[in-house]
Amino acid sequence: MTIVLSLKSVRKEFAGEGVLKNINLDVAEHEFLAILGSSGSGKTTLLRIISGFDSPDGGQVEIAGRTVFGDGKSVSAEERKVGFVPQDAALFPHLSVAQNIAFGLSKHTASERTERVTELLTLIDMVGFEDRMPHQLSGGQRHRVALARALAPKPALILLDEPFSSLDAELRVRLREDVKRVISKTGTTAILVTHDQEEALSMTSRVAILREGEFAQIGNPSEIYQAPADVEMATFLGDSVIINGVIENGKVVTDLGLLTALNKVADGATGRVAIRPENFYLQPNPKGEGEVVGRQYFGHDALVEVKLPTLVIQARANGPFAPEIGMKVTVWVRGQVNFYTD
Amino acid sequence: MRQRPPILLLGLAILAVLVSLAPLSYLVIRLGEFGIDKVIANVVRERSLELLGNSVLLALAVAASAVVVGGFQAWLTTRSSLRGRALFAVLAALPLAMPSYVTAYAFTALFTGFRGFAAAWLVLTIGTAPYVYLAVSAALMRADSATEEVARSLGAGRWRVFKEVTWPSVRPAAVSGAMLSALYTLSDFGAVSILSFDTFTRAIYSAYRSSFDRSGAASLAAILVVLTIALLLIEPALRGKSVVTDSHTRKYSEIQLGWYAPVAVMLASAWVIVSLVLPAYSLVRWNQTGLSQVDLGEVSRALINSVGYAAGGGFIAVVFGLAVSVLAIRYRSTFTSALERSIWITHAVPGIVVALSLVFLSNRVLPEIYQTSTLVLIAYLILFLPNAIAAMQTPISQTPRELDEIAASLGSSRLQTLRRVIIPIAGPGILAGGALVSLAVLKELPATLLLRETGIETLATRLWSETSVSAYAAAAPYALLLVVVAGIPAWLLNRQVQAGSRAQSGIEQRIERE
Repeated sequence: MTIVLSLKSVRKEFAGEGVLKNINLDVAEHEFLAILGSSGSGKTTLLRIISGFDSPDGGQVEIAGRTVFGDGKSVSAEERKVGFVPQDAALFPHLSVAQNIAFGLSKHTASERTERVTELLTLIDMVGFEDRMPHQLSGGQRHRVALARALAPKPALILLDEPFSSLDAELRVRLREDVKRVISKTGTTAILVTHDQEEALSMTSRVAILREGEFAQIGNPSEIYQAPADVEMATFLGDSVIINGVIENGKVVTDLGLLTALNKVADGATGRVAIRPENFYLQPNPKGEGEVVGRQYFGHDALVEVKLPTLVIQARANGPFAPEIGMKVTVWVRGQVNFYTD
Repeated sequence: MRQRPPILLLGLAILAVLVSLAPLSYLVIRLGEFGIDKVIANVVRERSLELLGNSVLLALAVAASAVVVGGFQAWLTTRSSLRGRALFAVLAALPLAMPSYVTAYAFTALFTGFRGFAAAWLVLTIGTAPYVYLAVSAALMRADSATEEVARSLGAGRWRVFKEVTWPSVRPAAVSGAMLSALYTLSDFGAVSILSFDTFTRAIYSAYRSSFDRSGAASLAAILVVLTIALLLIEPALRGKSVVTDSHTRKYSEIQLGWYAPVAVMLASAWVIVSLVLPAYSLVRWNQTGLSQVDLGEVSRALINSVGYAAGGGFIAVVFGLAVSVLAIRYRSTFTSALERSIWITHAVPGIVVALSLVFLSNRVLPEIYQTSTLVLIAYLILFLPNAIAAMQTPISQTPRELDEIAASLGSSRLQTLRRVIIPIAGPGILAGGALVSLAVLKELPATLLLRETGIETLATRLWSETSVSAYAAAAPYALLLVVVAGIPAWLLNRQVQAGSRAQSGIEQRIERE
């Protein structure tokens, strides 16, 4: 497996404050990785360091086996062969669609350029738009052209900087699929930077979570979602109900009864468990301890708030079977839970 | 990351600064040679105070009236629902074609006794208001009037919208326009001389002409330079931060004038009469006699020389101005900012002082270029580079930096990015800079007067020599030609502003359709 991008102990400070602390990451060829982080987590800084618009204060950056930063070297952005798709597409306003895509192909012959442009227009499904100017395109089309422009010189790696955040929800979903398809078809190694967990989990094969300048967890989407590294991560990535627990005889004793921990923990340990709302099962039961006090109906499912003697939980229930407000229920926890020792 | 600027740009900019600073250095050297006692004796005199009062008063008055007139015209033609605003837009820029000494000539030839402060104030306001008008209307077109609509929906009245939303987006343009007007006034030589209003430039010229002792002229020039530096130091604080607008969301709505429309039309028309109709009438009247006595060969030689100088001056200003602007905006550092600032300082040195110092410097350092066109072009570069930079900086700084980064990520080097991205996008503004300089060169009088090659006469120098002996009829054909020739770049400039606004409304319609 060829490593396309390798970051070693990369750090960066702004005004004495560590924005990136100790970043280590390897991205393999053909991989599509997401860097997920909230605003201020340092993800944009990291992206600018990879692309060469910013220099780190320490560490090493290797792209396609070549050190582009470190060992006293610093290769400029134009020599890195890293494609870049910015947030607002940023097409060259004075160039047509075809000229935008061909911008990075200036070292090729005219016929090679035409061929490559046609190839990419086919790929993004925009044949016939060659001579349009950027202002004549819709938002989604601009982003597709921006992607094609970045892919045209066949970069070793492309970076997508929150490319969908300025679009409306419907367009965003469609464009995500388009981008995913184009990237997998071309086999390009890609890094998506986003604050949208749904985007990260649905588009990519691996997710790295950036928190306060460090990677808090790296893994495939289901690992990240099912087994968050700590309680904070469990609440950052989607909702979780957090309750206190104690380990007795290998089981977690909680206010919701005895639960099975995913991880091995010694008896007597105290800590907290994180349970996803969809892992609750609400059984209607007139003698149940729980009472439904809130209900948000979404159609395909509903978020139900249940008041128990000692706590209030939020559970996701199947749309048609979601209990109504005022109903008594018994709360069950399906499957195993993540236990985090205090 | 602060990127290293390309060597080519750095070289051009440093050369421009060295050349620009030469006159100022000469001034300091000369003052030193005269001895500090003599200089102080020259400076602390009632005469100097009188000149100081005159110059400052005139500069402030002209800057204020230029902003009022130019700003009003800009707002009226870009934002209001006024009928015939396209016509007013053309008329507002038209006085650019009229050098202020031609306007001064036209008024004196028309009204005997037209002289003094009020006369100079009026004539210089006519000459400078178009600069404010062009800068402010460009800023108004770039500003997103959706923000104005939002402000109004939040209950802000028109005055508050103007003060808190519109003004901040046009303030940098208005302040640079006022600054340009004040500097223009301080270094104007032709108009104040024709209108007999004693400012520093006129006094320096007469001190130089009337005595062999150059220390008087140099001392007065020193005060003038200090005055301008003071102006430069306060400018950034007045200008404020430039507002970056998102090019995709730009649109603008028309403000309904309602009952104010007739008042607005009357004000705008009155200014058209004063700034254009009266001078034009004077020119036509004097040409009726003037054209019958004219020597065609002499006129066409003067015309060719003027156009040649203007084209050369415009070209070198674009080359050097682009280098300095790109450095100052894209490779901002203490050093590049200092380069840019020092070029602004030299704009303070009036043409007459630049010319005198170049006579001296070339005699001492490079006698080969004395009384050649090379020296004249150097003088133009020193005098007009700030104009070129002022015109170029706004379009360059509004070219999104992100596009540079995209270009770099696609393998384009810094110079290639300049050629393929920045210049094409900022192209109209860059050309506007070149056109402004060519215009300024065509109108330039004192440096051309002193430095031109022996036997070479331009339209401006011919007009000057005829007017100084009150030969109004003989001067008339040169005045007319100056207006016509300078009118072509002014017309191009204005057409471009108009085209810009059309393209923008096109974009807006498309966005609306989406």
